[in-house]
Amino acid sequence: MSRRLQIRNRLDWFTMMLVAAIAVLGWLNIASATAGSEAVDWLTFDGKGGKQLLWLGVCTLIAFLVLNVEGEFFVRISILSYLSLLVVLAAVLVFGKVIGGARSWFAFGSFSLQPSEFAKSTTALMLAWLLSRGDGKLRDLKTRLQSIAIVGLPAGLVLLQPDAGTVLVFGGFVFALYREGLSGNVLVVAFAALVVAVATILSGAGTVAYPFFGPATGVYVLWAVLAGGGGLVLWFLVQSSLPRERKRLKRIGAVAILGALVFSGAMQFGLEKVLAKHQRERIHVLFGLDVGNPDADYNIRHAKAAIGSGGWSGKGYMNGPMTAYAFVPEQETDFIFCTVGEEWGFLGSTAVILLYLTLLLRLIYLAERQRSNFTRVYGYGVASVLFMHVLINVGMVLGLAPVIGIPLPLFSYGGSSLMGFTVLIFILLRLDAERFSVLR
Amino acid sequence: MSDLDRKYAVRAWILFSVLLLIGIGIFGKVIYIQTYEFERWQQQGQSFTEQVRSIQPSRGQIFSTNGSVLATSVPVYELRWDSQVDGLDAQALDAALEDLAQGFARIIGKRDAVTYKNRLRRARQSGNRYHLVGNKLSYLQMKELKELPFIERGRLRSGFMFIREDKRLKPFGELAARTVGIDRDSNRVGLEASWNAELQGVEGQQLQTRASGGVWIPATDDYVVEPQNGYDLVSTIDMHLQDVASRALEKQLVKHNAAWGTVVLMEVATGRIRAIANLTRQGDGLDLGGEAPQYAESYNHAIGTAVEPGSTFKLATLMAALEAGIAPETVLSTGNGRMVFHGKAMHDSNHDRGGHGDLTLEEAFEVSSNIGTALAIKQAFDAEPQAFLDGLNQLGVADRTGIRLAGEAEPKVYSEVGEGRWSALSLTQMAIGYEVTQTPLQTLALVNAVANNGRVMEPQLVESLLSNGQVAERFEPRVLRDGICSEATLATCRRMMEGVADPNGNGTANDVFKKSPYRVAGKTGTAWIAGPNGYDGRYRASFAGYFPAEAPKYSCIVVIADTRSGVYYGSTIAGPVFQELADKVYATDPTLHPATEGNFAETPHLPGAKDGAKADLLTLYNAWGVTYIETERLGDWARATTQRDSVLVSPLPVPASAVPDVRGLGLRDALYLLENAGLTVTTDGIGTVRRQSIIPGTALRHARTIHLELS
Repeated sequence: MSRRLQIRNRLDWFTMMLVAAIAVLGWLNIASATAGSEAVDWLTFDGKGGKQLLWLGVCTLIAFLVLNVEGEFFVRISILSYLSLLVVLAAVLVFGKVIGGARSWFAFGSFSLQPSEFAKSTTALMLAWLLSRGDGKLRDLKTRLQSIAIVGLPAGLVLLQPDAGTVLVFGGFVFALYREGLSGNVLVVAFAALVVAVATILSGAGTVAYPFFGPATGVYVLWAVLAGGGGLVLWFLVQSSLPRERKRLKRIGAVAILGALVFSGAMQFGLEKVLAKHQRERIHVLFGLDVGNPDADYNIRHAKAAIGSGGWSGKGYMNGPMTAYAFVPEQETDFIFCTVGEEWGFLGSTAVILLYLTLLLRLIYLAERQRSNFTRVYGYGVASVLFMHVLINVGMVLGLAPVIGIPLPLFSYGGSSLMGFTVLIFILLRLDAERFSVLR
Repeated sequence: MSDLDRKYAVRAWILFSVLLLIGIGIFGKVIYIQTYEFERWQQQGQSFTEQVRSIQPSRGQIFSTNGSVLATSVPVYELRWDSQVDGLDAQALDAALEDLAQGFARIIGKRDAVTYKNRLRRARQSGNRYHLVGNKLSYLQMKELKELPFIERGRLRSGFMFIREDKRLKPFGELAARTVGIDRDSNRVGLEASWNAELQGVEGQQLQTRASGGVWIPATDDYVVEPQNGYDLVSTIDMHLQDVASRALEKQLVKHNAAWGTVVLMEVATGRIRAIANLTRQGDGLDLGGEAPQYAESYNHAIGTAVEPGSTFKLATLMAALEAGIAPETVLSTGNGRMVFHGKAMHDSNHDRGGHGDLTLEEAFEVSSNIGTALAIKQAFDAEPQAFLDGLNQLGVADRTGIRLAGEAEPKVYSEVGEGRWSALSLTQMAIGYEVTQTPLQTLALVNAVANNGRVMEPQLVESLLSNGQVAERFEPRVLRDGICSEATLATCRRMMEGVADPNGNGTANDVFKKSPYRVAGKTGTAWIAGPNGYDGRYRASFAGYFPAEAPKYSCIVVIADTRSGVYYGSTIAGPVFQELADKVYATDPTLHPATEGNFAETPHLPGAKDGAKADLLTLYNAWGVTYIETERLGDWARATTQRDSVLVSPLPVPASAVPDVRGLGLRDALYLLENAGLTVTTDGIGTVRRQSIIPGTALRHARTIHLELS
């Protein structure tokens, strides 16, 4: 059996089918979302549907190329590609073009490219390279710090664009790190941070009439409760614990309370001083707070109405009035899931969610079946990135997450995003196909 | 596999489970939204896309009797900016800001580019979501603004929006402006107010769906409530005569720097008002520095100003005396022009030249002797003043005319002796037109009745109501009182009034009509104006009369108040306005003055006819001396057909609910028709419309685009 044939036989065709199915469904929905009330002319590449078809062709070619590259090549270019992308990300901050309020794009004539879409692949590769050296576990502090730096550097550059959605996606790498041995406490801390963040948002939005000081934001009450209540609980815990554990408990408790206060303070500062008004409103809308701006929840109201009015089987392809008349802005990109909900109904949205869930679980399965640490870490990276994208995008459309512009992977309109995910996934497929022949 | 590896492998299962749980969670939310909340979102979705919306009927137009448009509604646009719209790209805005500001300055004007730029910046900084950029923009301005960079991105991505509203336009400007009136939400004026119910129509209701760009289009062809457009109103006003009346009045007002003036021209037999001009000086007329005072139609004095009429009222008082049996030949000793009645001196205008001495009643009227008139009334009614009041009431001078125009003032004429401020002096004061008030129109009503054989007509301003160009209701002349006096009294009155204006007699207006080829009957009036401290040396000059005297066709009153030129007599101030208007009427009314001119446009080489706005066509034909035949006097849009020696001008049907036929029209007219029908117009070429992309007569759907090819 020739090596080439071996590779073809060991390719995971199931994943490839899933990817193709998602991409084709995406293309069909883009065509509907951008057609408006006119009939679609399938034969031209003028509309966004036609352009996406063109991108699908380009990506098929890219996928084919990637599958034909030796896996070793990706291992070797890890560092170089990672560093190059860092340079590109820095360059885009200077030479980039602003689209939708973020300097994330390079424009070449009518064609533009978003480098952060490719940074996800290079970061995953770099992380895989680091953790596959030695015994590859996150046991020593040095490796931990290095891992965090690898994810943190590109995320920081993206934050400067600023593109909050992509930064959150980089946050997803914490799952890969957890799998590789990062303390589970990290997840506990992350969960605690989420609770404090929500409490800060809710209390910060309220107004309390304080004695002597008059009305001011309710976040001070939260801080008082954190400090006073936390201290009381800690004191109680310390009293009821064994004397030899008291010192440790005291230290952890103090750090926790202080950390929560600092984090809440930073949150409040960020909410009030850093975020633009419309961003703050979006967050408040998510928690059902009255923002005094009837248009603040425009997107989400219309998105929900589009999905909700689809019912069991939807209004039929090309037949959704909300889709046709473009009620939801960005309906072909970030809000493409609305089109699915409206035109294909419950059955359609379920199918799409199931496709993604299957793809994600399949990716984890692929990662787990590797003997190569490099491939496993990379596989988890791919799964994390994809997971964050789906979670934030679908969550946003359903009103579970704040409105953050982030595409639905392989589904939303846009060449950069489609190419980025193609490269990301097909590298994994190539590595996976070599799982028996290579031990890294 | 080491223990450690095994321990970490468990984590794969943990992550696996977490993913699965989150997937199930999202799945649950989808089920929740699409089943439990289905109806709510279904409804919401529908309310975004489907609504029963009210359809504003179009307000009727007001025509003159000769078919010109006095008031019409045209679409105007307001440009507003939502500076916080979601899809706005700040970078693109900054890049386009300069061009935008320049464009605003060029297309809208009003402000310069720098100001526009600063205003936009401020609006964005302060988060204004409804910033007014410009208002009262015409359709063409709107079209041009839509092409500007950034705005072309559309409402959702630029925040700029055009809001259409209808503006009431008076194509003739100030002409009869106060009578045509003002259409606004509250405090309407004139015909717009009094005929609002007929003009405004009935609001309709229709189920509509929303199309791209937020435009609502009808969901079906049916209505929940069918909208009914307002009636068009054909007024009695003749624009040619109105023009003459207004111009003659203004000339005289300017010449004498008067406070205000009014002219009303009425058709004797019908009571229809053919011209009604009201001009009020803007400012007090002092310190003009050589400039002419400015006048505007700002108050309808003809119907709204009830004042002491002075000598024009002598017609009423002497009619009462004649009816009471005083003979026109009765000799009245007016002496040296000064006489004391109940302790108050009364003067004749020539008291400084020795007075009139003995006068017959008829002569006293002609020279407008106050003393003579007072003596005649005293002689007739001293014993029983109530009979005088009853006599006046019989003539209708104590009643409103009942004209259907908002704001007619109530005349004040005592109905009972002893009423109000009645005193011993009242009888002789009333005799010469004081202690009573009347509006100029009320004074005219009696003059008209004398000319109309004792029939008081209701003054009319509206001839008919039209619905889709067809007469829906015609208003016939109405007689308010018939036989207000005996034939003998009538004959005497007409003789006396003719005597006033007889160029060969001694009447007060013997100078005015010297050159006129017809005879006028009338009465002058020069009344003191009562100020806050009594009569203060200001005068109100008037002339009321009818013509031609032998076969009265028109009656007319001219009142000019408070001149600053030092001249104040009714004959010299009001008379000339009357004369100028009467001359014009006489010259143009074929029934008065059969035309003898031949048709000079003998050449049959007529220009190619083009359909269009009728007023414009006729203006051109008049200017070029082209003979045209109007098949119907009404309607805005005309179809012109060139015949051998004339152009046939017939109404161009403009169906309300179908796409109009604009072929053959110029672009401006085509745009007006199509835009008013709610269509979006795109064009190609220049010239007249050769082809239109939607077949005329196709049922109208809003928000469709029609393409015109011009040649």
